[in-house]
Amino acid sequence: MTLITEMMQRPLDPGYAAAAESRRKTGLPPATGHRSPMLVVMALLIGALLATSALSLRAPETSAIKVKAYLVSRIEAMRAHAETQTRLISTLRSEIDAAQAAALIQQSQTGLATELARLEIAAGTVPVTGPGLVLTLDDAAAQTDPKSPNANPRTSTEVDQGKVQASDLQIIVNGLWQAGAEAISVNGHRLTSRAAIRFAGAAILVDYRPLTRPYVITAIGGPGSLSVEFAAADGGSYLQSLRLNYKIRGDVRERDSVLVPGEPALSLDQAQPVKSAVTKQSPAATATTTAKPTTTAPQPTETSP
Amino acid sequence: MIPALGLLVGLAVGLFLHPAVPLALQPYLPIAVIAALDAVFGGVRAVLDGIFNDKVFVVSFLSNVIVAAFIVFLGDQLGVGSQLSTGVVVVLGIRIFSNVASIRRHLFRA
Repeated sequence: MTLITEMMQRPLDPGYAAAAESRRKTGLPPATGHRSPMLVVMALLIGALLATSALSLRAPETSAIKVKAYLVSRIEAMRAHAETQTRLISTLRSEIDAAQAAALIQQSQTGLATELARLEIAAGTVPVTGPGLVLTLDDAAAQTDPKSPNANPRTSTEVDQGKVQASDLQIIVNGLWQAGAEAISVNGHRLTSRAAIRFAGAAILVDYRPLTRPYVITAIGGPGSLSVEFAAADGGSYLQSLRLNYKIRGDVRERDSVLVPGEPALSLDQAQPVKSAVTKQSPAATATTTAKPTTTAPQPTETSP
Repeated sequence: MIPALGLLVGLAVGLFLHPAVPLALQPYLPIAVIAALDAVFGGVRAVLDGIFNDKVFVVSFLSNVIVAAFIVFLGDQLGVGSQLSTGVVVVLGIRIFSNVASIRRHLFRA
């Protein structure tokens, strides 16, 4: 305690008092002048030290923040750009559709127009509506361990089992296709022949776009029959086991009319139609079309890595 | 007045030249800054008390910086560098505060 008391009572270096005392004894004034070159050099040195340390200790943080802000702004700008481009695509697509319809009507080839409309619906490029069901999946409610409420989540070794995985979504969507769904969208993203459900890190990607919970699956299918068949098949029992074992919240509701949006940016660059199959109906193609008349969209099955 | 001008010129030099500090010396910069502030405020108080001595000022500044850096270096070698840095900062901080309080009494009589 004496140390602290000493420091509080006499914070000034005792050397000052001693030097002043000795100068007084020799007859000089106790204080020296403020203009000695040594003092000026020292002041210069202290100023440079303060500025240098302020700059060098602050610089790394600010540059990191700057880079981060730049990246965030880039991401946001690009995302806005993508959104405007998507909107542009859909408006252009509707213009093209209108122009196509007009051209076909002008040439009085209404057969082609109806054929085009039928194919568009089958390919999933236009929004469709009809009776169906809405299936909402969500992670389990955050469980708090009553024994250790302050447990560090980083130290716990077990993975969070209450989270919806991409494979859960895949199995349920495949169950819906199996139950006879004709069009399916997940969080507003239409599942077309080129859509995939996969995961990157902890995020679920549908159509290469990340989704956030809750996951809302909209499916169009036979009124009544879709939900019954889904519940009876593998998908329904899988959903039930998710509910019971992992407390994942899953909720199936039948609706008289649901809307499944279209996927406007569906284009094939490399795939070319086989000439013979188009010109003359090959027996194999006829067989597949007759065998599965209701399947309008192929099943998007990409197994998770 | 001339030392204050020197301080400003030194600040400007440091700001414009922006000398690169070696990475090995960077941990000692904050301690050096605190020690320099302690010496500066001690010197100002001595001026106001009428017992300023330039030799004592320079020697106290240099010894403050060297001893503080040595304590931190020793702490780093022993694995208690952050604790010893805290100790140095606390001791010099208390000194700075009491010196500033004394300067305030001199200047404002309050």
